[in-house]
Amino acid sequence: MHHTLSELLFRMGAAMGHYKSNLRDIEFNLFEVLRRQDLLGQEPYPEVDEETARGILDEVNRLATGPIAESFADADRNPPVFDPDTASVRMPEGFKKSFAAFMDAEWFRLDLPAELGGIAAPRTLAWSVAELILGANPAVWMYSGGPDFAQVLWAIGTPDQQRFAQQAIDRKWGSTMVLTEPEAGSDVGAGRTRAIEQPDGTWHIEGVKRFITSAEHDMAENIFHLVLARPEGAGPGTKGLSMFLVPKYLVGPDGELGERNGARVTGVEHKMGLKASTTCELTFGGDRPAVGSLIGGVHDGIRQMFLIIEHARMMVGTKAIATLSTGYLNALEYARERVQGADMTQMADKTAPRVTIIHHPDVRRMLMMQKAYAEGMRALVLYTASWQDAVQIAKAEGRTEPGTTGDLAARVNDLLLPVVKGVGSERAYELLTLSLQTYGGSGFIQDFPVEQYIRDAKIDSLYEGTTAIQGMDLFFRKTLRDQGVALGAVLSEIREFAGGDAGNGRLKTERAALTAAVADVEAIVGAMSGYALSSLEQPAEVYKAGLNSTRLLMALGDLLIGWLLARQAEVAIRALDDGAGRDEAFYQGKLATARFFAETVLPRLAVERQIAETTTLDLMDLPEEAF
Amino acid sequence: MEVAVCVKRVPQVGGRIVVTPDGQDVDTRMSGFAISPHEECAVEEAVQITERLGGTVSVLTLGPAEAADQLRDALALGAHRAVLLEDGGREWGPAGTAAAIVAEVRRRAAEGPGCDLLLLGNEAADTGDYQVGVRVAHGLGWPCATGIKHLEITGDGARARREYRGREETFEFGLPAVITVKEGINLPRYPSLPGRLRAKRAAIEQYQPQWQPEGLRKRALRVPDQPRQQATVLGTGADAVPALVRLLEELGVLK
Repeated sequence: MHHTLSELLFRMGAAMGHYKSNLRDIEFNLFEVLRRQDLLGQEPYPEVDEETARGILDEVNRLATGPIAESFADADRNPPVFDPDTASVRMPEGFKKSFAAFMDAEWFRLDLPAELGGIAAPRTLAWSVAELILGANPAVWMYSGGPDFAQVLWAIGTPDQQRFAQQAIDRKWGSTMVLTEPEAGSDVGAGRTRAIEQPDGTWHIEGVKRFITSAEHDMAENIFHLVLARPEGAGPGTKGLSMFLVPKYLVGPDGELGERNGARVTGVEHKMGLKASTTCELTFGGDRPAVGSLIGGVHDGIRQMFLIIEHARMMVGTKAIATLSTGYLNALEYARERVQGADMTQMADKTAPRVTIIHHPDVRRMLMMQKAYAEGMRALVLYTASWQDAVQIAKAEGRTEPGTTGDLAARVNDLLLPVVKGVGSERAYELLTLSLQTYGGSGFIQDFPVEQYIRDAKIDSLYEGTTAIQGMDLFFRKTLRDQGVALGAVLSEIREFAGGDAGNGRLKTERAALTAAVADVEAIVGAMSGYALSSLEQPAEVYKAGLNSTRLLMALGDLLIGWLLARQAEVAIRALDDGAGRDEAFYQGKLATARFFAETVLPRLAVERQIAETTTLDLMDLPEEAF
Repeated sequence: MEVAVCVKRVPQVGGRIVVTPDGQDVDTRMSGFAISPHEECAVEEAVQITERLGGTVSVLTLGPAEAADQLRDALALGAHRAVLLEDGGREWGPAGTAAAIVAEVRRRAAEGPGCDLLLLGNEAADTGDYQVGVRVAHGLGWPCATGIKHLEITGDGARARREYRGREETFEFGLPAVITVKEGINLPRYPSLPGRLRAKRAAIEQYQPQWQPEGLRKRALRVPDQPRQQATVLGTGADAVPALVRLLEELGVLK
């Protein structure tokens, strides 16, 4: 045999690696709950019919559980090596193979429009594919962002930049988004990196940026940076920032690579997790000028950058949720195999047979909580993506004016993004601790993947806007400034479900819990809006909104999850009534999950409401020394 | 270089194989279908050869209409053309299968550039009879090498290696030729998205070859009895010790 053992394992794929995907649940969301097949195989998705979509998921699942997952632990233990003398990074060999397997298969074309060689798949399918890769090896997905960023560049760039974008896609160049500076993190507008216009129309960028993901590696012939910098003479804050295209290697008119540009990595961070992903300090104009071009030839940096940030927030939420899902499924497998202790009803009997730990009530509680959030948040990601589908369809049909369905879809998507990102990352991290807890002490050691999941997932509540930023975005921009249009649309959909009769009376508990929970969330929004209004006369009142913004974020998340799980239960009831065959346990699980969430999580929102409604300024009045 | 690859649609069985009540088929109600790992490697080898040297890969199967799925899988991996020889619901033995392939190769040679290299898996995943490749080579009068784990196209022919009874054998021969390859000759790639979409749109050529009765016929399938695992209780507590010592002595652990 010429096969090495690792090759054999590589080919066997699914059974062996750390990554446990949940393709059944993804397909349940896409085809049984969201009925995506009704949109497929016709404009604007003529290339993708249901069979193709299922084939794609199957194929990506095989790839994800096989070669993509394979280097997950190795790249954590042997992370990328930075050489300061050459400003270069050597990636671990195994990781390079995983990355090549993903890029060679060109799944990134799912996200691209036909003009750029893409197939314009619905966002629901694209994010389902993303979940599989992000769960198997998140850094692989993050390094693969070049084509996506190039698509944005193509959409808003000058003709030269559009040509560059096409080359970047065809040649699989890497890319970065460059915002953060040592003194400008969450406060992007404090950025000091300067842009100096040259007589030939190009710009020289000068400054130091930090925390730049994927800014250096040896897996692509070129890397292009999309950089926020302040042109000389421009005003302060985010309004004065412009966005520039700054490649690692300058590119000639026919795409030939020229000399090294003056954008160099001057440091790579040592991190708690996600070590395979390089997090870099990027210096512009150190020993030679960093030459860039103004994106689209217009000074509109922060708006342009948000086209990428919004996508990144959806990605982060999806990553967190994908990690929780595999954490849960690993914990579940362990709980089914690990024998420890007697059944609780026989705990006094020393001779009672020992049972697997899934028999123990507290283990069941932990498992069901993980299942509820993992599946509920997957539903949230794909529900959000279904609004993105609606935006795509409306755009194709030219219905995007204010007041149209396209406009509403865009607003609802905007509303949901901070929930996907903020709630996704916070709950995934919180619930992954239960995945680890399920293992007992074994979870703390590196024989099992959960400790790495936790380390790798912690970043999700931090980058692309911390949870606090998501909470403020949700309340101030997506609710107040939107005048509650999007929130009202979502809440009325939930209220309609709660007041309906689907499920033939078998979802009464869920409906009652949802009716109460909608009222609780509305009351929290009401209280916070009141504080914001009072702040027009008494500025300190706005603190009360600030004290509750994360509370609202998490409460809305729980409400949405509770509703989406109940909606799934409704579909499951129909499937069971029709005779589910070998899927019976799957559907039973759906019913049990919705019930569990309605009984053990949703009631807590009443307490959150009470806290929001009785908020005082005590905490803000407290002197720092008293902390 | 014109390369043709023969593949066969077979049930993708798990650990336990179930036979239909009439004993004529494997029960496939709960299983999918695939081609064998040898054939996956044959497709990959053909695609790699044309990537290096140019030319086209044609993938060929004799089977039911549903075998188009397996042809599309091969197209997604980089094959350029697909030909389905419809089996008409009949049972085809190795001689008939080989005759149908020979006829197809000759038909194509008469119409166009023909075939320089014909690849097959070493043996079919279901019947495992090792015959079709050899019979096709005989029918065409081409050289044939079987069980190949390394293939190299040289200036005027090809060189192929295999392991045989612990030795390595190398064959050098002119083209056209028939080669049956074994798993391990390469590591098959995963299909790409563009490949999959191209495969979905591709037209599949279909022909109805002439079926003729042949000597080798299937009578019935039977799943052989699984070897049972036996456990013998030697005794309980201290009473078991003499029997245990005797057993350990028998096994040579104790002397």
